[in-house]
This record gives sequence, structure tokens and C-alpha cells, in this order.
Amino acid sequence: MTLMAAERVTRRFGAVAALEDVSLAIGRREIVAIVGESGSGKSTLLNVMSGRLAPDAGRVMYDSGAGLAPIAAGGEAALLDLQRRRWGFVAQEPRLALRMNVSAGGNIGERLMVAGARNYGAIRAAAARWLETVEIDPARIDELPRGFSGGMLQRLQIAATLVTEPELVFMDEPTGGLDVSVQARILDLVRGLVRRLGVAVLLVTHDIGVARLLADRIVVMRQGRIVETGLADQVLDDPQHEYTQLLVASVLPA
Amino acid sequence: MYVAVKGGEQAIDAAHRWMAEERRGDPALPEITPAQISEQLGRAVDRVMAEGALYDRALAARAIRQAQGDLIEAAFLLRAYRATLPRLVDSEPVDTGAMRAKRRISAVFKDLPGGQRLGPTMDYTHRLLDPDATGPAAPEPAPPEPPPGEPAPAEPPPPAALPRVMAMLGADALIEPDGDPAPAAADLTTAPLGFPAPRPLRLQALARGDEGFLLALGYSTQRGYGNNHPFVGELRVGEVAVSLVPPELGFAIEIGEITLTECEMVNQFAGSRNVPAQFTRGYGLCFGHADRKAIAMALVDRAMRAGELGEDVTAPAQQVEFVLSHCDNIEATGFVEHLKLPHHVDFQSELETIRALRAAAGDDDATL
Amino acid sequence: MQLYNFAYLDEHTKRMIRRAILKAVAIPGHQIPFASREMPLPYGWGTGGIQVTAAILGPDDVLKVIDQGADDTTNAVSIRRFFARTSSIRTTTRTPEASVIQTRHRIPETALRAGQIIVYQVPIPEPLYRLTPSRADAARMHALADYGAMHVRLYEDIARHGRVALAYDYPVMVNGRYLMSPSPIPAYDNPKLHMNPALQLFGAGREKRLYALPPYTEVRPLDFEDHPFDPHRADAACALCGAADTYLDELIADDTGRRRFICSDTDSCDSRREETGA
Repeated sequence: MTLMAAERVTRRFGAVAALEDVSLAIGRREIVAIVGESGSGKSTLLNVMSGRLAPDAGRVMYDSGAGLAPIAAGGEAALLDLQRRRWGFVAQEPRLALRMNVSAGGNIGERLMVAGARNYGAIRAAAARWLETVEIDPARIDELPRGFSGGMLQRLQIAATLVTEPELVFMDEPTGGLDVSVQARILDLVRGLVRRLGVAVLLVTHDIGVARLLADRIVVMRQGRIVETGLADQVLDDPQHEYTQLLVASVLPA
Repeated sequence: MYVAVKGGEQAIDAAHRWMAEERRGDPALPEITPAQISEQLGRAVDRVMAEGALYDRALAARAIRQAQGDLIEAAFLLRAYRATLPRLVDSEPVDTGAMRAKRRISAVFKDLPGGQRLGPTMDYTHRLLDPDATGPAAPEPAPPEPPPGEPAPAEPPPPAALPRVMAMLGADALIEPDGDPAPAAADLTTAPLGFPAPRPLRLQALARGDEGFLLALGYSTQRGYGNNHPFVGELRVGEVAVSLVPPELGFAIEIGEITLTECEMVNQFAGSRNVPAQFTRGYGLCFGHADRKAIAMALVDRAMRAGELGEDVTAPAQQVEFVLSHCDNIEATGFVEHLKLPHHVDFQSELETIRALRAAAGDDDATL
Repeated sequence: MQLYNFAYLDEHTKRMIRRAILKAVAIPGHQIPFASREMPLPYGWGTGGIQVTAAILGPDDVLKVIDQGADDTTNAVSIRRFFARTSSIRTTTRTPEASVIQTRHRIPETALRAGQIIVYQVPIPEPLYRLTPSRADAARMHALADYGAMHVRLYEDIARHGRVALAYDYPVMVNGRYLMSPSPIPAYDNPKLHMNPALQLFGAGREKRLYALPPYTEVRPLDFEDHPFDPHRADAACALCGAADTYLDELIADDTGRRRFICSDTDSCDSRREETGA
């Protein structure tokens, strides 16, 4: 059952078409990875689908329970409501996504408070629980994230995003810029959490290995278009498009 | 080329003659005297002394007349003059605690030992232009309203030394201790400003910094750009004695008095679970009677302490290097105004570059 | 004073301000921009409140002006004198006698009644300025009722200090919709905003905004269920009237730092002393 769909979206930056007539559907609880080189349009697609960027043509649909409807139809307030209550966004750079002058507990609690939580003790308990879930010592609940390592910051961002158990989470290179050993731990954590919570994920990565580990389905983009899409195993083991073959080949020997 | 140089000389001479004529104004009117400026435009003199960094009322008044009332230009004249003076000896630190205060107010207590003293202030005047333009600048025309209930009490004579509000707060450890009685900081007038700049050096720079710049920065902190929740703990204006120790005597002698304005700001606490909440300080001190300058300075001083107090440094007023590098209006006015000097050599090379870029881009550069 | 109109402002300006007031009353707690004028008192002295007062005063009004709760503070004297000069209306220090009360930093202790108007002087009308200095961002947050981050601030206070550390200008929710600055009144006064029978008007001259609480408007301070709003007052009784339930000024009595407490609301203190013969 389709949870979200991009329908023939196009987005240009000046003369450059970052997205050209792209359609993509995501099912409930499905994990979809968009792969491609930088400049392929994958981040633009993520930003358009998450409502952060308006398409020049086409539309983005979401099913909030009453069938698919355009995300832009209800205006800014309705879109913000989707982003705050039904979706989550994990950015590559947690320092920009988190409030660095707010404690770890406050960062996790924010989405709860935005959603209307008004019991300090309950918010705090949830924050402590989520710190534990993402393997951060709950004793650090009152610390500012400034002293956290890159991996911890990313885990904190994941906790602050998943705390409201959203239906859909967008992830933009969630392990980019981290050491390989740190990456593995985070990917493991994400895989376990999204399965357990039944969250749908739209993930952007340039790393085929990340897509292989997490995704049910892989979408390959090049020059603003989708060149291949299919079940993850199928795309990785038997790539049809020559660009996909190159992508897969360049990574698998590593 | 010979002709051009000649033309320049003539132009300069003519400009200076014309300037002198404009400065003098209508010769049918009596020329204003420095004494009149010093007596009747006292606040202008105060500002020029502060930004000119030289306490000399007579010289400041002369500078104001010479600069045709352009106060930055007047401060510049004073600075240029002071730069030629030999530095014989440093004075002892002035004791503002012993100030003979004509004005002393606290915004944090309704009443306090020594009392609130408004002194000479425009604070509660109504800014209604005197309709009679030829008459003297009128003071508040309305008769004072007797305070409700009782007749106005006569102001008591000022006590010799007023206790400090900050000391009263300090007695309960409600406010952070004052900074170390400074090991003599570098002297901004004899050593170039360097970074990181310790607080004594920052205060020196602010004390002669541009009033308008400090005002804008202080104001920005109040509107959310680096908020520091200020209260005027105490503002005092009055005379303090200046003493120095002549090497041949070996003990301090008083050489005169200067008027200073001092503002001690109380700012919201920087406490945490482990550190008890307490108020923090901002400090302003400048020559003459200048509430605005002293208060703004105290706001900016506190804002620049954000880093040391563990606050985020996000706003312009909190950025020490930004503030100190741009607060001197003599430097600023020179560099801003130098744009009117000839720049045609540089401009010519820019012109050629743009033409080349446009040619390379295949554009038609016929219009340039 | 024939140079100036009744209550200083010209009638066109007054009408412009009254229109803004009507809008403000129609949308309680929402800041209405208005073309604030330069007044003969400096910004920060109460130019917003003075303009609102000037716009609503009629010849039959009786005006009370307080600053820090007191009628005899310098700024209160100055503003009262200003209106006395420019409008020749009657002024009073008695809260019950006043039809219009202009205030800075306090709400009178004596309960206001229907028909009275209280005008607050507001330095920073934007309660979100603590979160973002940009008024454009703040306007967007108001439009979307996007106030979660404000609760994060309260959460941080409790986590760090064990309690909310806002002592004055404590933000409130109006009618469950708009976050509003009550002006820098002590948090102790916040409950008086709620369901008040008087019309409450707020004027910010420098920031060119005004807003209102119509009579009997729901006004709730931000808090948590398990950390309810809990304002502090000095734990003492007034040295003059003995009141133990009023907001107190702390006075330093002598050089040894000995403290005395007296009512900040001079009229309520005087009334109580008259009643008790103290």
C-alpha cells in the first residue's frame, strides 16, 4: 500500500534540471534507498519529497489515513504538521539538526513537546529510555551535545527523530563523514529500530554498501532521472542499467 | 602632469579658504568662543573628550569649533594632538568609589543607602520643542507636580562616599566577584590592539569607542542578538580625583579632578545545577557626563564576556574581535571616507578585467 | 499648550491607533503592527503605553499612572504630568477611582473591575525573541502556533536549575492560541491577567506593536503538569502595612546591608494602612 508518492516531479536550479520528470512510490514500512553520485539529483528528490523544496512541476502525495493527498494542499501549517508529527528527518550533519545549546534530554524531548507533551517527568523518562536505545549513557541526559563524538551526535539525532515514532523517516547520508566502524554501529542500530517501529524510510546515500544493508528497494539516479529501480538484492546482484553496473562494480570489490 | 599637480594645489587652497569661510558663517554674527562651547555644549565636549581619549575641556571645545561641530572630526583633532604629547607618567587608578557624585541612580532598588539622586538629567523632561525659537533653550516649562500625598522632600546633601550597589549584592554573594584588580594591562594608546584581548584592554577600547556604534550593539543585545538580561545596578556621574606619583617624590599627589560616568550593570545569572545562580557584571566608564555611552559600554562589555561565561557566541556584540576592530570611529571614519580619494588606477584594472571576463563569456561588451 | 491636541496626539493618529486596538481586541494576544509615532518621551519610557492611553482617553476619564507599582516613581510622575498638561483630565492614585490605568511592570493589587482599562508599557512585545532574534521567524512561528521550542526552554531550566528560571515577563498562552509577553511584570502578577474583568491593552512604541486581552480572556502561563507555574515573592510582610500577600520591594536600609520590605503597590499599601489605622 502506497504511503507516499512523487508524481512526475521536476526541479530546476537555473538552467540545470536537478530532477526531470521523476516518479517514485514508497510503501508503508518500506525502506527505499536512492543511490547515485553527487549531482545525480538524489538529495533534491529527498528534499522535494520531504516538503523542504517545492517542485517546479509534478506533485508529492502522502496518505495520512484518508488516501493519498498532495502534501502542499493544506498550506504551510499542514505541511509542518506532517513534518513534525508523521515524518522525521535525519540529516548528514547532526550539528546543524540538533540544538547544540540544549541538553541531550531537551533535544530528544523537543518533538514530544511540539506534539503536545506537557509532563516533564514523562518527557524526561522517554528521553532517558531513548538515550539507552541509541546506546548513549542515560546519565548524560543533561549534558550539552557539544562534548559528544560524531557517532554519538548522530545517534542522538536518530533518537530525537524516532522518539515520536513517525510513520516515515527521511535520511540524508546518515553515516556520511563517520569512521567505518562507527558507521557499522549506526547502520545496525537504524536497521533494528526501523524494523521494530515499522517505520518507512527514504534514504539517500552514495554508498552502495549502506543501501545493501538497509534497503528493501533501491532506486538508482543519474542526471536527474531514475535509471533503475528494483528489490535491493535484484539491483545489486543483477544490475540492468550499465550505470548501475558501474556503481555496483566500483563498490563491491572494496 | 605638471599642470595637474598645480591644479591640485590651487584646488586644495581654495577648498580650505571656502571651508574656513563656511565655518565662520555669517560675519555679522559674533564668533562662538570655546568657552561658550565648553559651558553651553557640555555634552558635546564630553563626547569629544571620550572618543578623543584626552581629558581637556578647553582643547575639546576648540576642536569642536574648528571641526564646525562635526564631533568625530573634533575627536580626531584631539587624538592627533594627544599623539604628540610626551607620556611622562601614569596616574594612579582613579577611585570611583570616592566619587563626588552629582548623579547616582540604581534601577534595581527603590531606595538604598545614600539615596537615589537624579542630578542634572533630561530623563524625565518632555521633549517638546520650545516654540519660541529665538528664546533661550528652555528647561522643563511645567511646574513640578507635588508627589501625591506629601510635599517633595528637599534633597539631602551628598554623602562623602556613596556605598556601591554592587558591594551590597556582593555581600550576599549574589553577584560574581569583580575582576582581578588588574595587573597593568597593555596600554591601547601605546601598544597595538591584539587578540585575544583581555577584559582590561577591551574596556580601554570601549571607553574611547564610538558612542553610536556601542549604542547600536548594546541595543541589539536587548532585542535578542545576544541577550544578557541587564539591569542598571548603579549609574553614577561626578568628579573623581586624579593622583600620580612623581618619581622624584615617591608618593601620590593629587593633580586635579575629572568628571566620569560609571555604569555597573547587573546581568542575569549564569548558574547551573552545580554552580549556584548568581548575577554577572558588565562595566562601563567614560569621560564626562554620558549615561548613554556608559550604559551601552556596560552592555557590550557583558556581551563580550559570553565566551568566558560559557554562553554561546552567536551575536555581533559577543564577538570580541568584531567589536574591538570596529569600535574606533577615528579609524572607521578614515577608512570609510577614504573611498572618496582617487581610485582610478585600481578601477581601470577592474574595468579591464570585467571586459576580459565578458569577452570570454561571449557577451557583447560594447556597452562598457 | 494650544500647539497640541487633547492628549497630545492628533485625531487622525488616535483613530489609527484605535483601529489597531480594535483588531487587537478581536484577536486576543496577537501582535498588531501600528504606525507608532515619535513621542516627546524617549522610547523605553513608555511611548507605546502613552500612545494607547492618548488614543483612548476622553475628557471624562480619570487616569492613574504607575511605574513599579508606585504612583510616585519618577517615570510615573512624568507621564501623569504629561497627560495632565496635554489633556487637563483628572488624575488619581486610587486604583478603584481610575477609569484608565497606565502601568509599567506591575498589575495593581486591588482587583480591577469591568469597565476599567489597564494599559501596559511593553519594551519587547515578542515573547519568542528569547528563541530567535528574527521577527520574521517569530511571525511565522506565531502563524503556525509553533511554540514547542518555548517548552524546550522551560524543560532546560527545570533540568538545569530544578525550576523554571523566568522571574518576570513570563510568557503566557492566550485563549490557547497565541503566545504572549505579559510585559515585564513579575511572574507573581501573571494570575491577574487571567479572566480579568477589565480590558487589558499592551503598547510597544519602539517595536510598533500593540496587543490586547479583552475582558474575561483565558490566560495561562507556560508550564508542565508536574511542574506547575509557581511564581516567587519575597517571604516577608510589608514593613508599612503588614500585608503578607502583596508583591514587595526590597530596600537596603543601611550600609550594613540590612533589608526592609515594603509594598510595591503604594496605593494598595496606603489603603490598607488607612483601613487598619496603621
